[in-house]
Amino acid sequence: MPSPYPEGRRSEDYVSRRSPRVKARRSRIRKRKWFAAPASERGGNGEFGATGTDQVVGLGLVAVSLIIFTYYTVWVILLPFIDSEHVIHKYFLPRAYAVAIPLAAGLLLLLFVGIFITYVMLKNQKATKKVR
Amino acid sequence: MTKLAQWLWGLALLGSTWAALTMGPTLGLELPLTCREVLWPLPAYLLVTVGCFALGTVGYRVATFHDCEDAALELQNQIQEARADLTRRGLRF
Repeated sequence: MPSPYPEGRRSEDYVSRRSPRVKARRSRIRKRKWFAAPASERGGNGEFGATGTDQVVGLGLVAVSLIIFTYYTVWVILLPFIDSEHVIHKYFLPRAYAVAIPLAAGLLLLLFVGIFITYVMLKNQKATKKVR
Repeated sequence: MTKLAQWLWGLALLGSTWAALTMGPTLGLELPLTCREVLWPLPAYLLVTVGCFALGTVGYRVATFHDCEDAALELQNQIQEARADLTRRGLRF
């Protein structure tokens, strides 16, 4: 297919894909396409487009991760700077558990992943043996 | 340098810094007690933080995923049509 550009194209003719003019044009095209689509094909409108249980599960995961993060941050980072007589120390386990519990949880996770992989591999081997 | 090499390099740097600072007192470096208390669980803390961030991101993306129920139904109908057509032509599933 013959090139649409004249031979010996100069390097000054090159417009980067990331230049603001090109980006603005692409954004206009994208918005026009989205706006022109029939309403049913625009997918979920608004902030949360997912359906019922998906939203609950997703927000539950976000909440769990935030809780774990704040508790662990207070435990590891903030507690050493608080007087040992303060009442807040009552809500936190001894500091050694701050490393022991994540370590144990990580090892358990690795164990389950290993068991799962072994199970899947054995199932595959049995399937291929049956076919042969 | 590949990405793997970069990551390993960064991890090795941070790991050796942490090891040097935690074993410092045994080699003569004196840090205040609170700093040492915060320093020694730091790798576990970073791992847990990364894990929490990953979990939170997955949960957020699941919650804000734009579902297209009509498209899903249409796709399933097309799949059934295709199956019927192929079985008619003799392909076994």
